[in-house]
Amino acid sequence: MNERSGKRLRLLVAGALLAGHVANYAIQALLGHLHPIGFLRELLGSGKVDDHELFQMLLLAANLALGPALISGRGNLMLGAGSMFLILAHAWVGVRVVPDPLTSGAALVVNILVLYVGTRLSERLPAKHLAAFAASYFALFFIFVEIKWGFLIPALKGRTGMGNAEPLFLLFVMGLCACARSWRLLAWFWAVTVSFTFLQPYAWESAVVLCFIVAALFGARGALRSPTALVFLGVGLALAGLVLFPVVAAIMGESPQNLGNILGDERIQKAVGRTLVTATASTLFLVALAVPLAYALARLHFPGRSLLLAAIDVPIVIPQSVAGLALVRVFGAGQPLGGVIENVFGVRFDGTLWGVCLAQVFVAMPFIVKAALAAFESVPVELELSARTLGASPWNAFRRVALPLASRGIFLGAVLAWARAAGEFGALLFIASNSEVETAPVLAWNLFGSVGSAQAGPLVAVLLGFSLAMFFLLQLATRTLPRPAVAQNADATAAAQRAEATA
Amino acid sequence: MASLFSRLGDLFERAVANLKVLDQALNGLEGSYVELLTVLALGLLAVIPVIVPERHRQRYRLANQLFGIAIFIFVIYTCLGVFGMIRNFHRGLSEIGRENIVALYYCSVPATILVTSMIFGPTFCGWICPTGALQELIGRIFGRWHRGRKRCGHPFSWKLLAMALAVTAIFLGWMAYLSATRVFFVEDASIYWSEVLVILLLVLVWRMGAWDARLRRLRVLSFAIIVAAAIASLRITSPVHFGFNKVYDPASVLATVMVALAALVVPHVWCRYLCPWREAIAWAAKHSARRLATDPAKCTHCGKCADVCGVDAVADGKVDPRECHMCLKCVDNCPTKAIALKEDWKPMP
Repeated sequence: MNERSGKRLRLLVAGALLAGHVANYAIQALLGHLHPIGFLRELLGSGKVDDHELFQMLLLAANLALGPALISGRGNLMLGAGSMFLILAHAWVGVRVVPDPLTSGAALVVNILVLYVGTRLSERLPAKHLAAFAASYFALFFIFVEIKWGFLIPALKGRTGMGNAEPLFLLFVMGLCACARSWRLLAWFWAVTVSFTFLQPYAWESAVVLCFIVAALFGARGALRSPTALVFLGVGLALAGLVLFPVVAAIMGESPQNLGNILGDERIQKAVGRTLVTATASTLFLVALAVPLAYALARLHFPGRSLLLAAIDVPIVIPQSVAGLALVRVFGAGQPLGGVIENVFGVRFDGTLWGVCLAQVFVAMPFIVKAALAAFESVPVELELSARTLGASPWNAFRRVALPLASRGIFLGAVLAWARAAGEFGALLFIASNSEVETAPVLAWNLFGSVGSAQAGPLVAVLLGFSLAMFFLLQLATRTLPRPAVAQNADATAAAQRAEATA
Repeated sequence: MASLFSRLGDLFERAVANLKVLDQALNGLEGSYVELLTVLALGLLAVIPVIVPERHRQRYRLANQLFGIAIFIFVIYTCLGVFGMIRNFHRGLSEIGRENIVALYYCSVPATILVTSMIFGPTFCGWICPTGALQELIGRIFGRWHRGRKRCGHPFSWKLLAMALAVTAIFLGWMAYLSATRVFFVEDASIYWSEVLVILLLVLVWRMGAWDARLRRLRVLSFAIIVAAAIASLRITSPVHFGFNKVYDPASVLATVMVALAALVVPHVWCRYLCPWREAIAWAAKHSARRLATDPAKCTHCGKCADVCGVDAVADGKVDPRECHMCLKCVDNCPTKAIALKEDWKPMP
């Protein structure tokens, strides 16, 4: 397009819109809807004017300013003409469509914003961005306006909480405008929008989970930038979201005041304290016995080794209730072994903290043995052998070489075992569930049985927050221990390669 | 002739009646003037920085700021100061799906500010924000005390010490008066912020050059505290809060006076070190399409941009988007036009 025809186009488009607006105003004035002379007289006289008259006058003034500017060659034609058209449209139909001029004005500002963003997107970005913008716009329209009308899906009409949501349409369209130019922002926008519309009353919870998923998906980097891996990540994150959602919902669903009240309850304080003490004691006991077992399993081959390895998993495999019953049948009062222990050592298991620890040790044992076994197996035997050739005794080779290198894995296993012990519930129900020795999970069950889920809610949130905090703290502490030998080797190799590359 | 007009009128009516469907669409807005006027007013204010001519841009900015103060005083009810804006946003988002009009009422101001910041850059800070404008106006009057001392801190002088002590004395005296006449509530916690401000001031006067970057992280802390308070449904009022509601709120007045006094010595001290909302806007501005870019070929390293910048966001011709208020003083003052406003719509990776 050469310069002259460009000028002619400007004159044509802007002139037509300007003439249209003037004509619209004149027609309305002639029909008696508007009174420009009376308006001016009131404006100059009392200063108090009718909203509607003022709005129409402002719109006319806006177009009277925009039109000549466009004709004289200033500004972007598409944007300018579009704005003029929107202003004209608001002057023409806006009056009838919306209840008051102010609403119309707000809608006009948002419409011009949409126009601005749309123009920029179409000029400066690939077409798919504009398509996504348009699709999102209509999706928002559907959510906030159409569902209420129920033309497309009558079944949805009146069945959502989105009555009176039309004004929010304006706000969300503004948000869409802000986010339209990047896929990542658009994903954030939709994560929030979906949370706060469809997933009410769990809006904040789902927003947290969805935003986490979006952040992971769009932050994903790797040597292999394959779409397949990204899709897999998305599917996996959906699964993680499904699992995480109830946890987040349980924590965020309670008001902070409730949580504060709960922490002041003596019964709850005692139960939480009992949980801490018994789980820690059980874990220490397990570490003392399971680490030697794991070391033996890692270094020796003996008949029945694989059978033993399989048998270690038994506590995971069998139902918790069965485990509880089995413990009661053997260690309970009056049972053969339980009776002997009570008579000889004076230790009674059922209904005491000893019983709690017993059940915890039972269920947590596989976690630490497996972890310690894997940790010791990752320590090369050659390291210990070289220590022996340098004069270390077998005990010192274990204590100074194998144990430190495996310590991280062992500690991680201990953390898992601790969490499992603290969270044990099924077996405890059989062996020690009375209120004198109840641990936190059992207390949650007892409260649920006596006062219902609504009252037990804050306690559940506190327990959840407490276990998660402990778990993450312990995980964090693990990082201070030495890294496994294999990883260290890998690091060393990578460093050597880097050094080679730079040299 | 008259019948022709009436027939045209009928046609007009019928054309509109065909669109009657839309009659329902915005019904919810009926009567809810205040928040829509907010969208309208803030939208218009945010457009001005984009369309003003480059000549006399700073004068337009001053006019815009004054207009912004007027808007915030006379039009906006829902903002309740920088802290209230965060609290209201939290509240408003929670109401979506339950009380949609209430949600709009509470979300409109923060949403408008965030959206305009994400599209046009953080122009809210430099062109509209009343707290920022207040500090800048004071800085304009007492600019002599700012000049040349912004980065290095003030050299020691008895006059300065006396001034800092006087500010502290005013604060403590007012506190004593307040505590004698009023029982403090959580609402009055803005006093803590002004207390921090006073301590900050004493520190900044001598150690500004060394501690500036670290102290700016206080904003993150401030933001975190306010968000946590919002979640815990605690009300904490902020400076200038008293401008938004009619209740007797002397703590907020005190905080405002402290902000104004502190701005005498350190320009934009509230924005730089304590404003929690600035943190949110900095995030939004990171994603903004409009940003300031420096052409290294044109830059002569004259340092004029750093001199004029009120928030110390420019160093050696480079603009830090986390700190920039988009006042465009550096653009207007650059002798070689090396700093320019760029509009970059390329999608981010």
